[in-house]
Amino acid sequence: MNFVKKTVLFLTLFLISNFCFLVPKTHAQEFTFDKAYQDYVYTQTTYGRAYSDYERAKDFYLKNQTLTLKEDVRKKTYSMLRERDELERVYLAALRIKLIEIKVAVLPKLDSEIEWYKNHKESYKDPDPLENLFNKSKEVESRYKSDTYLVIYDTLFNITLGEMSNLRVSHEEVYKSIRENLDKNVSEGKLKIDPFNRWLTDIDLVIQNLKDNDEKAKKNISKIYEGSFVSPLSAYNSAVVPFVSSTTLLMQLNSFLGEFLTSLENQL
Amino acid sequence: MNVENISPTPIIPMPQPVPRKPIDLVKEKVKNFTQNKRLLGLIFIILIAGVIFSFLNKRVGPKILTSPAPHATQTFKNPEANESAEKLKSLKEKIFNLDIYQKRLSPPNINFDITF
Repeated sequence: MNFVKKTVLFLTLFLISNFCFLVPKTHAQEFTFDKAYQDYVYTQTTYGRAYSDYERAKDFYLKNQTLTLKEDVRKKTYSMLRERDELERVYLAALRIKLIEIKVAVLPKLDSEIEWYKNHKESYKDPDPLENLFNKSKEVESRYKSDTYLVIYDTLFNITLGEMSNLRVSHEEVYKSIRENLDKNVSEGKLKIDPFNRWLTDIDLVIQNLKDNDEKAKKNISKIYEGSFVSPLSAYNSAVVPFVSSTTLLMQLNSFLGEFLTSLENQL
Repeated sequence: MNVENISPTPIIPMPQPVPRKPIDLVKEKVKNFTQNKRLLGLIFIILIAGVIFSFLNKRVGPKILTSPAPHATQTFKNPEANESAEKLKSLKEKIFNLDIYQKRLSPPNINFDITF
């Protein structure tokens, strides 16, 4: 009996002590943008390592063109090219998750790019000779320049536009709530509409300017597919210019709403 | 009939055990427990084993979340107004953190010129 008691005590204490220090993480690992971004950073490192290995092997081979060194550089090229496709796929997938998180529609082109890199990675075969690997690499280069590059900057634009619009909409919600409070108190005779009526006009104007900037930016980004820019990057940089002013307008809107709220509450 | 004269024997009351207070009982138990060096040693070893085991498994313990230092915010009588003020404060932080050029998400640097 004494032995049983001691055993039970032993087990209980062992479990308690473990529980205190372990407490396993039971949270479900959701695939969030942060997780996708971590994957991207990790894949960047893996690709960087594969690329360095390829470069080293290439240098050795070019200095001493033996069959063994050619075989070595072939293997390193094969690995590096697969990692490169994977890097593109993971990067595009991270952009996709970001769009979903900020509740912006995913471009169908983005999905087809992700699929293309996924399939292309599998098209490399281990016994492929160097010449085949070079040809397959050219397919990626061509795809990147004709499609991927455009899709990336179009997506980045949509992310920025989504973030700006979401901030404006959130401010509008606060504005609506304050305004309803104002209307209620005015109708009950607790407050006078003056000077709030003029303040409302100013706030409405800021919101309208923000909406106008969004439209200007959308018009600018549509030119990305027209080929009127040197590169998609320059088209993107030009398209987001109105957002510089939008950032200032958002700060102003935030400040106006804060002032409106304080003034209203202080008068009640 | 010879009746014996039975004298009534005095009933000696049995000594009643002194009722002990519950606190005394607890004290006694604790004293017995602490005097049992083998048991204490065993508990100590189990605890140490638990700690070592947890570190060997490289598992992370619970994080103590500390809330950020509260910023000075104006409070109003109306709870809805307080809610709006809090929301505005949080939105302001988001505006500050905006990255319109999405520098963090710029595409990876890739060298396509790999032929030799």
